[in-house]
Amino acid sequence: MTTRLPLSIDTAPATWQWRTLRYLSIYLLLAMTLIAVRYKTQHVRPNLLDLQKQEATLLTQRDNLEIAVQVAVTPQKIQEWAAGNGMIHFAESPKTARDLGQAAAPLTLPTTNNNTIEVKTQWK
Amino acid sequence: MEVKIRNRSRVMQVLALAMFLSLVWAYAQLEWGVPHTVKRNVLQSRGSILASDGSVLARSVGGQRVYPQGVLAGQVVGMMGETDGLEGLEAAYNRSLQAGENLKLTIDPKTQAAAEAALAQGVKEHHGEYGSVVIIETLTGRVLAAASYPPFDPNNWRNYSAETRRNRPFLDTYEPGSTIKGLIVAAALNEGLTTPTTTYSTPMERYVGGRWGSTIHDAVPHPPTLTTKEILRYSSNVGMSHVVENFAADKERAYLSNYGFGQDVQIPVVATATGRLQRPSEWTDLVRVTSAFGQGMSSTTLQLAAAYNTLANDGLYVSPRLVEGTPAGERREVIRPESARTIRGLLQAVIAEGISNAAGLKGYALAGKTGTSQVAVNGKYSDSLFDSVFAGFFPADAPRVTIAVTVHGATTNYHGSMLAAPIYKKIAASVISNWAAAPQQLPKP
Repeated sequence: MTTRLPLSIDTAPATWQWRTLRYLSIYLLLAMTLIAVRYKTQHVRPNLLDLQKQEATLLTQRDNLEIAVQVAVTPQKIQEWAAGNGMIHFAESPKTARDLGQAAAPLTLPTTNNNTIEVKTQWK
Repeated sequence: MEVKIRNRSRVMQVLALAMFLSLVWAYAQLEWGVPHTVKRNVLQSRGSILASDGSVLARSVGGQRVYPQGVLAGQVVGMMGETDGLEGLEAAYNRSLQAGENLKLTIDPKTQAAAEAALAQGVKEHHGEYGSVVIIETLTGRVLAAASYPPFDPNNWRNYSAETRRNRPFLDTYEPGSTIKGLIVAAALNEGLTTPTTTYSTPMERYVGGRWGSTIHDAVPHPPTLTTKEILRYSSNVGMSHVVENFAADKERAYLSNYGFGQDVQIPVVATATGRLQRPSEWTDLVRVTSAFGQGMSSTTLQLAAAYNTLANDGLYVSPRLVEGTPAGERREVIRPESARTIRGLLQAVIAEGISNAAGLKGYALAGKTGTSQVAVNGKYSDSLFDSVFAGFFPADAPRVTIAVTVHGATTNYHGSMLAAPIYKKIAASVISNWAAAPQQLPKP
């Protein structure tokens, strides 16, 4: 056995007019808020784009400068410059041998008995 | 009503035409060149190629591929086309570079620059056609330098011929000539077929090879008898024919093969030539003898350097490596450490007692062997076209680097001792100076 629920919809024009006004005003309020916020922050996007452009330019400049430095100090250029200024590799320089006697002897460390260190190791 | 329909159909026609034209434009963009934004993104995200010290050999900047070091290792690095690598490592490692991965090489910029400078000077002074140098770190097989002449700048690659772009040390093959004597004497010492003091009768020419044989000649005047040590010192072909007198052909060939000749060099991805050893069935008595002084076979400069590195590395062959982090290739013992030490002493004597001015540096123990080979033209050895070769290592008692040098087509003073040896000396001076190694009073080898 089934029971039928009473279905009642308020179809009075005054109710729907009120509802329409209420929702429209909320919508307009939100839209105005959005427009206001957008108006207040309108400079952010162009600024961001400008900064992105600046960043890209600076990165390119940095990369180019890095490349310029590397080009300026390549091993070939340094070697050419050195050779052009009369330098030679020290391995190719003339060599002579001479007995330096005691002057070439390694220094001996002074020996003292007072600087002994006693270490005790305790295993746990 | 009819007018309205006609107007609408016109609007539709215009719209359809506009859409069709936009398709044509898009297709033309793809056909005539990749859209700039795509090309720029592909290039910008491409990985860099770095030398062993971290300096940049190839890099993308502002949507362009640049090579800050210019000609330094130009042929090794190769170059980029619109979006892909065309030659060298740019092509060989195209995929990983495209994925944004950096490629770190074993190349040392200072050593590479020294090799390129010495090679360029030597080739120019002797009016050569081209040349190549390979320098290998003895213990690891890391390629510290792979130089080609004439130089190539990948920044302006369209201005260079395909010949100039060729990575010669890895790809050019030639007869290594008398440099092979050092390797064969080492093998004979290892087999107990000779000793440094074994004496042989050495006229200036000798007929070898039996019925199908030929007369071999020596170029450098020498006494009528020579020890094995002196055979290397005078680079005597006749002497070498005696050293390999009892060397079985298959064994001699196996040694050359184990040194890496006629074998693929196990460098991953990178293109290298295999060179040539004659087939075992072709090893007549004459081939056995001529192979002992480097005729009838071919090698790249890389293979020659790797073979000499075996002598430097106590008899252990180490596959060369060009890219850091790649798997190490095969390592194999070719000769015993004692044999390697003995041959190092003999090769040190070659320089100290024979060509100290051309290849020696006072206070430093350098070792090596010269080679001069006639180039075969139309199946015959030319009387006017030569390859000048040198292979060696230093310090002789505990080698750290091995060097192989080749110059092709020099017209003046083309002998190995006059051209390739001084290039070796110049590179050695630069490398030793970079090490800041102090000179020493050396005992006689």
